Amino acid sequence: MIPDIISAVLILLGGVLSLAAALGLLRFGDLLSRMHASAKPQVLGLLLVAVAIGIQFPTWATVTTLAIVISFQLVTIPVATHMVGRAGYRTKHLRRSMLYRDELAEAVDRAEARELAWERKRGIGTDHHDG
Amino acid sequence: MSSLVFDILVVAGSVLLGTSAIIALYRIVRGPSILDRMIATDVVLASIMCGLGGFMALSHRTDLLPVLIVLAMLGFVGSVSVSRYVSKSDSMTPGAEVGALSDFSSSDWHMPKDAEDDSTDAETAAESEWFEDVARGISDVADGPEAVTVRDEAEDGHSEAEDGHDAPEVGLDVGSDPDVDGEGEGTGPDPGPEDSDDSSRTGPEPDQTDLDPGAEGKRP
Amino acid sequence: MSSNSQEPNSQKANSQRPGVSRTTGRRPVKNRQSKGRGFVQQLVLVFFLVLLWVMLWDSVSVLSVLSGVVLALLVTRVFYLPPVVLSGRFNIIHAVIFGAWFLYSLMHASVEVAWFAFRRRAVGAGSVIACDLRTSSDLLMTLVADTASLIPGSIIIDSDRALGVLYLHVLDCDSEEKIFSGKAQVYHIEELLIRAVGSHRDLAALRATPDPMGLKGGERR
Repeated sequence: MIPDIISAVLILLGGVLSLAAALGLLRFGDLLSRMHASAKPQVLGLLLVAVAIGIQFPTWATVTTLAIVISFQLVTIPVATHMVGRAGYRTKHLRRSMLYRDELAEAVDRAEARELAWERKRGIGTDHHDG
Repeated sequence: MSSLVFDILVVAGSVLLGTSAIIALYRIVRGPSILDRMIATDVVLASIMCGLGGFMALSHRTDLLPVLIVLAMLGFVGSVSVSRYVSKSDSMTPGAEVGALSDFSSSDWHMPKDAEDDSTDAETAAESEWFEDVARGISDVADGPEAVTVRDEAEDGHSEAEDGHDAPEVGLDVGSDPDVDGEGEGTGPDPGPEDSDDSSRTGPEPDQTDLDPGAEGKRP
Repeated sequence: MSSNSQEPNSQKANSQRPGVSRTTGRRPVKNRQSKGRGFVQQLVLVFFLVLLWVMLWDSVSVLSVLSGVVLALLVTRVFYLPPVVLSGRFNIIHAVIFGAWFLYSLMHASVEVAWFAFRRRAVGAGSVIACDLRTSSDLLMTLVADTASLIPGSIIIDSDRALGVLYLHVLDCDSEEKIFSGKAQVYHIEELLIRAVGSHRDLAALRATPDPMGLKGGERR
């Protein structure tokens, strides 16, 4: 019975984290903040659930499959959040003025000026090829 | 006694998971942009995964583990696809004021592109035609600007042609300058070999011309 | 020395025999090394894919291993990945330290973000901070960004590969101290990773600037 209780507790904790994720989705005011709320508790919640399953079935087959699931999640969640975050940051209407400091925008402004000069120089060569 | 505790724990966990899914549904409905909806879908998916895992643990069965793997992969692919789509569709609207992404009307995408920036007129025209096709829901972007089709050939040629880009790398997007086009043109997703979105930024590349007769026919 | 490129043609033309170095008169070793390194990497990739396949099927039999090998070779040929320059250094102790710190930090930060969701005030404004990493290798930058994304509180938004800068969005970061602690965490991640899997050049860079926050006093880039 004890492993069952432990698993149940872990699942409950996973449920709490999921609820926190959903509440964060509800209450945070910014797209980027909501993304923090959604993806991050997901990692830990899945980890807890995997441990719960592993406690119930401590066989090699199950443990390796769980390891696969967890490692997939660990690898893909950052990539997915990064792409959503990048899309959310670059599409300017999604970005509210809820940023205290934006060091990327400063770097973008600097790079923009450089890039304009560069593109102008190459633009002359492009007309020749566009033919 | 322990059975009662166990039952309470199980019921509480299930209620929490269900509640989180319902709250995320609210964000799916309400979310002012498609990215909000995508994130909320991810939360629903995570709740389902946790619920499935709990079900497996507490009813002593493991035959549903591959379902977990598949759900994880689906969630990831969905997120990445939507964000790539958002990057692409928003990369055609210059300037800061853009309509909500939730309604895709092609009239939004014909904002007059001020040609004083880093693009020639021919390239602008080619781009707007391509965007028109996307706006009409034609998903086949093979007849975009000519830079698109070149991606099919050797990646080595691509990596040498890209002045501002390094060789294709593992992981992050590594444009040499972050978000170079301030007018919202967006370099889009990673400049990989078959990444058609790179066209808006690499239009001026000299070695990608007249390789696709289809695209040539579309250009004025 | 560490590059994987072949000798350019102009250099070949200048030397007496093709592929011979002008200075030493010997065939450059790097060609063989780079080919060997590429092959070993492909082998490692195939091995891990076979391992994954076998783990998915939950049985180590001749059929599963063979089919795994066939599929792995197919996948690595069809979906060709550019070679990753591994540093060739793996310190077990520091890797374990990194793993332990990562788990602890994951739990701590998840609880913190969950607390943000439950408390009355929700969350304040965020910030996008720039972290000028000391390392310059692709793999290490990717690992730092992945770890920073996994640990609740920061999401990697963009990167500047040429300058080795990572841009992250930090949650609830509306004061200088929070920005400071956010950057400090990223640099801490980088330090742990360099000690675990960094190359010697990265280690030297780490020793050169052991404290980017304190020394440069809140540098903005």
